Amino acid sequence: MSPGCHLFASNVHVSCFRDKVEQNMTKLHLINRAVLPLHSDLQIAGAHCSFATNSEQIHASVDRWRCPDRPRTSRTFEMNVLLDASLPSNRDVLTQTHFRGLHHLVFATIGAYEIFVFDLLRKQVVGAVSQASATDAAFWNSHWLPITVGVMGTTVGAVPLHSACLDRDGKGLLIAGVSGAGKSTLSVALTRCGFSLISDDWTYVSEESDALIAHGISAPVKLLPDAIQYFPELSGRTPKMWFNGELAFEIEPEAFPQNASALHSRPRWLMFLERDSAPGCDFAPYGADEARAFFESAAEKLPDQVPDASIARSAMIRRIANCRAWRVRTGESPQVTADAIRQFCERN
Amino acid sequence: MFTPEPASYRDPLDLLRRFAPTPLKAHVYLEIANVLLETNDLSFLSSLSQMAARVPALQSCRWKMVRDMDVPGATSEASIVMAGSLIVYCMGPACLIGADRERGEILAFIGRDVDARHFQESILPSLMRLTEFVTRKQDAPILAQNSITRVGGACNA
Repeated sequence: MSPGCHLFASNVHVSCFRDKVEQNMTKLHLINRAVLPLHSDLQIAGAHCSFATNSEQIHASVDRWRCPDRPRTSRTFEMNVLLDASLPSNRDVLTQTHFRGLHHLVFATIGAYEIFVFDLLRKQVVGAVSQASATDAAFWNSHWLPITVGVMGTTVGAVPLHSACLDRDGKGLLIAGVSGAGKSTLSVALTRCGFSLISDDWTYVSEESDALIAHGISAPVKLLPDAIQYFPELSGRTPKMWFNGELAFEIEPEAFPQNASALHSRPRWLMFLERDSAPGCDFAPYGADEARAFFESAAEKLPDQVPDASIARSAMIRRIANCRAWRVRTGESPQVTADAIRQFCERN
Repeated sequence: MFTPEPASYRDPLDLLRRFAPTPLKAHVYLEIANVLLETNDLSFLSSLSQMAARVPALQSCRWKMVRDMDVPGATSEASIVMAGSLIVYCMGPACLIGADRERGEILAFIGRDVDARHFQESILPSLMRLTEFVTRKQDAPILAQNSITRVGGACNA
C-alpha cells in the first residue's frame, strides 16, 4: 500500500485483511476548497449556499441560482462538489439514487460511484460526481439542488413545508393537504386562473426582515397519471418513475403560460385541501392549532444532533399557522375548484 | 440464546431510516480502541468479538450499525470521500459508512445480503481503519493534508 493513502497506511492491526482491502478500494476523493477553485454564492429557496467545484460545467449549470450579495453566515451552508472525470458515467439519477441518514449525516449514492454526504451539524455538503452529472444542467437545477435544500434547508432557516404555493399580485396562497389530495393538479389548474406557480409540493419558508417569505425551487411539477383526464395535453408525455417509486408526469416550469411561475411570495392565504365525493366546493375556517399540527406531523423527523434546527422549524411553523386558514373541501374538478379559490381569494 | 432478527423498518416521516431502532448495545475492547456498538443485528457483534482484545485500549469510539433490510444485493467497488473530519466509505447502497473524527463515531448501513464472511473480509477491515481515523485525533489531519491522491482517480492504496 502506498503511504499516500493515510486511511490504510499506518500500522496494520488486522494485516490478514490487507489484501482484501486493497482489492476493494478503488476511488479516493479528498475534497476541500483547495482543489475546488470555482466558487459561487447561491441563493436557493431562501437558503444561501457557498458553492465550490473544480468543474466549469457544474459552475455554469448552477449559475441561475447565483446571488449578487454575500450570503449571511448564519444562513449559509457550504457545498463542495468534485468532478472526477475517471468515474464511469453509467448512472440513472431517477432509478439509481439512494438515500440514508444517521445522526447528523445523510448519505446519497447515485449509481455505483457518485457519492454525496450532507453534514447537518457542520452545514456542509460534499460530493464526487462523474462527467455525466457534471454536464447535466437539469440534474443540478431540477433534482440535486432542490434535494440539497430539502435536506439542508432546516439547518439554515429555510423551513420546508408540505404544501403547494402560488402567487397572485405578490400575495401567497399555500395549499396544504395529505399526499394524493390533489395539490399538484390543483396548482396547475390555478395557473390558468391568474396565479403564478411557486411550488407544487414542498415550499420553503424563511424570514426576511421580520416578514415570512415562501420560496419555490423551480422544480418540475409532478402530476400523477390520472391527471391526464383534466389535462389532455399530457397525452403526448410518458410518466416517469421518481425517487420515491411514484409514477408521475414531469412538467417543467417553462411549460406553464408566460408569467405563470414565480420564485417567492408573501404568504397570505393558507388552505387545507380535502377531496370529497359530494359535489361542491366549500370553505370553512381552519384553526391555527390544527394548521400547526398538520405541518408538524408532515415534517420529516430531525435527529437529536441538530436541536436548534428543530426549534427553529417549530417556531416558523407556528408563525405560518397563524396566517388566515381555511379548509377547502371539494368534490369538483381541479379547474372548477381553482376557479372557486380564485373567487374566494378575491373576496378575502 | 435470544437472537432477534433485524426487521424491515419503515416510517413515512423517516425516509432516511435515521431512527431505525438499534436496541442491541455492547462494549468491545479492540486493540486500537474500545467500541460501543449499537446495532439491530447481533451478527455484527459476533464478527467484532473475534477481534476483541483482553484489555481496554486508551481510545474509545461509538459504532452505530444498522442492518438495512430494505437494501438487497451485493456491495460494489469501494469509494472514499474525505472532507475535513469526515470520511465516507461507500461500497454502494449495501455498505455506507460515515466516520466522524470530531464526534468519535462511526455510522453505518449494511445491506441485508451482506453475509458474515463478506462483512468480515471486506467491511470489517475498513471499519478498523476508520476507527483508527476516528480515534487518532492528532495524526489524521496531518496525513490527510500530505495525501498524494487529491482529486479522485484510482486510489494508490
